[in-house]
Amino acid sequence: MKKLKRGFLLLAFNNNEIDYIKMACCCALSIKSHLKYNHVTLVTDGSINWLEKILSKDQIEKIFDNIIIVETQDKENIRTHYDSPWTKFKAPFLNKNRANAYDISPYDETILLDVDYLVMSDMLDLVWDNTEDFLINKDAANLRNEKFHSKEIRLSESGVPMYWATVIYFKKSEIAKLIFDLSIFIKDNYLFYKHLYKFPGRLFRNDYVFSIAMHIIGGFKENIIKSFPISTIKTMDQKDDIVEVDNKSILFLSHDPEKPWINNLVRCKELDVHIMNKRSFLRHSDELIKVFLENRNKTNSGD
Amino acid sequence: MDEKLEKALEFSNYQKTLQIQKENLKLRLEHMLIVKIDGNIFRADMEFINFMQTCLQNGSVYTIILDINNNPVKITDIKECLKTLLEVYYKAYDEYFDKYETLKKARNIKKVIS
Repeated sequence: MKKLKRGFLLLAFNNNEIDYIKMACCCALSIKSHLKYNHVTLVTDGSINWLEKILSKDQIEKIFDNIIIVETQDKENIRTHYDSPWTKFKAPFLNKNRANAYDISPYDETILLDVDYLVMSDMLDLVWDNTEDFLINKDAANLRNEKFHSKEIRLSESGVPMYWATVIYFKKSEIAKLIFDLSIFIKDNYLFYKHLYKFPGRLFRNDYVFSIAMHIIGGFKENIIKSFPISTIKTMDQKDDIVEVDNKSILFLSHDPEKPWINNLVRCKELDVHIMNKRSFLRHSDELIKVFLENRNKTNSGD
Repeated sequence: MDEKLEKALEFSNYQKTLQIQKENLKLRLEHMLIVKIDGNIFRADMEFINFMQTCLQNGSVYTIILDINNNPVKITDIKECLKTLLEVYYKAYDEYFDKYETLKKARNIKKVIS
């Protein structure tokens, strides 16, 4: 495979409930609309058939520069989702390939993004050619700019800090290789580490895997591994909804679980957002694809 | 519902929405103040600008400063660095000021989120 200098890696594996492929299309186009360096590789499985069904070859080439097919590693990993406070559903979560990103990536420098992350600013252009070999964020805030609940700040009450595997930057380097190899080991021994680090729930989460890896690699000390220049991930909760979208902004209806009678309208303009309500995302995906395609950066750069 | 209470709650909702949008503007400002100089990432804040101005006035040939990850960086072209910092600072604060002024004048939620 041809070696590429820098680019984005998106992993998308469809299930019966959630169309991750379509979300990956939106994510890739958001990259192409807002960033100078916008080479995108899609990593997927048999879901490629769905992509070829919903889009023409020409459209696919406008969205993805490179497609890599891998085998899905997951067995049972069921996640509970919300679509607003009133609708709850379960769906398989096929997320166990993330720790293999180092070996999969065709780039010297990679930004690994969740497909439900929408790039609405040019901030990630600043990350390339970094002095650090690996970057990951530790802070997240909701649409009302409130820090997350304590159980999302540390793995357990007295546990290690939570890192978010939503956005990861890495260089092909010794340290990044070490982190990803360790993450694969933690993934393969997940139950052991669950008991050791006392994190909750039965769902396999890459956030936990990478948090533990950061703790170990950082010499069992905190704040050793560096964050992105903007260290807080703005996150739309699963109980929030999208009202409208355009190329530069998204208007949300933000639900406050502590004051459920209050819903606030919030416009995020030129700020990247992690969209947790997947169904809401998908309800607006055609619109997003349309606006991003119209504003797609014609210079396709990975060099 | 009592009319006075209804009006108060409506205003409360407006205030909350306004506050969030002001915070979002501040976040955007923080984004815009991030600057890359010789491959290192800094925040173009007043402290950094003033320090570089002092170095320039003192005729320093170089200076060492910490980047946003607390790595020490040697800056040899102080004049060029100061020029870049000022450009980034003015661009970011001009945009922030204009948008903040528009937001200040928004007297209802529809205008606040427009």
